[in-house]
Amino acid sequence: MAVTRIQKVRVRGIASAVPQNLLDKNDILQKFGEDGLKTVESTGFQTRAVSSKLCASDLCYTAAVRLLSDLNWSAEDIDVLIFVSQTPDYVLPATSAVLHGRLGLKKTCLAFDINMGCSGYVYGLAAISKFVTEQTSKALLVVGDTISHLVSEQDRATYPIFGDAGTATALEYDQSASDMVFELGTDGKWTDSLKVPAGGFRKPKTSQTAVLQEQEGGNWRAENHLLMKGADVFTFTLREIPPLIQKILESSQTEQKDVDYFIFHQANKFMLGHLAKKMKVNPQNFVESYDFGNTSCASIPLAVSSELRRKISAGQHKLCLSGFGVGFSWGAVMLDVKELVLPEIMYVQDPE
Amino acid sequence: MNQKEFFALLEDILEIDEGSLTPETDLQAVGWDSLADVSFIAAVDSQLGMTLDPNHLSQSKTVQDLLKLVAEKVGN
Repeated sequence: MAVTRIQKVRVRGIASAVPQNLLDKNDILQKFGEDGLKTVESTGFQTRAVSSKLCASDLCYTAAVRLLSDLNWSAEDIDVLIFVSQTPDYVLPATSAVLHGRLGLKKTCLAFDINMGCSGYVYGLAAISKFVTEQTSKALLVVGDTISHLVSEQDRATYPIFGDAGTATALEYDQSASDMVFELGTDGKWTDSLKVPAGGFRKPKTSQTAVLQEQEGGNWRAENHLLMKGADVFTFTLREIPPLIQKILESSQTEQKDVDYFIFHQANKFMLGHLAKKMKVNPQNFVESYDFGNTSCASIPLAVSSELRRKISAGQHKLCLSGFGVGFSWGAVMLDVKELVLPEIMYVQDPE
Repeated sequence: MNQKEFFALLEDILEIDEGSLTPETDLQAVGWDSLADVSFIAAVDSQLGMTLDPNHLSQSKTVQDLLKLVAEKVGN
């Protein structure tokens, strides 16, 4: 789409939470042998934060409570709540309503879900910013996924990659905020390249869809599991993302050298390394985070919490964020942050 | 890039000895997997400036098939 420009909205803070349970490469070695370690070397994910018992909303809740506290905002202050995820608590109701209740938000606070993956954080920022006005001045964007719940333990293309995380981002009406500039796009011809085939209403889960079947490269997967065609995803990224970043630089009238940090969806080391090289981004300005796994829509805010906490919580900084993946769908935003509130990452225990 | 260099590139991706491959080599037999796919796409992108069509790549069975995908950029 054409450029979307948001005025007078400022991102005030970002908080992130992950499961306390970190799996390291011994887990991969056990499941896939030496071939698995080759995958770890390529993805860069030495550890992954994984929990089979926590929902994305649990992690987002922890992040949101901490962020509100650090901002000195009360639940009564929030006018808008959006939850971005592909792993909701229920088919219905919307998880945003569940979180609205848990957080004790007021009745006039609107709340809804957006079902998006790796591009979801940028889409969520664009969507929520549209609701922030002088009258509805404080908004909370909660973004998280537990993709580890969807992967087959016998699929080397997905199991070693994904982790779980939940995040919260606070936005506020601010007359002095500089514009946020967004570029968003979709290519729906590639919906089969990243997909969980069963479990929706097109193909409900049955005993048959739970049966593991041998797939390419000796991987075993059921239709209830996530399938990822790595070559499709990689070529899509090479095709769309460098021009997307070029476009956002032009539409925001920003020179590449003036961007303090490029924070992309933390897909994996191989992909990010290749993108950085292709776009000639200085490694010092290119954020990479490999401690928690690919956490889908949560990966951008989680990378900010993990890698930039000490670098950008004081002063003003120009950030270029870009998410891309399932759909295929992509987005980028250029924004300035000032005195950003960035609590340390929270580690959440499994419920008893 | 010439053909010899192209073969060396594939041998490097597969982590096998130099001179192991011939045009007739079956890719599956030498351990070509999804990781090799993305390494190949990355190398072709950075060294030849071409973005491959993943559908064409998945139909490739032999070294010769891969060579055909990049024929316009690889000399003799």
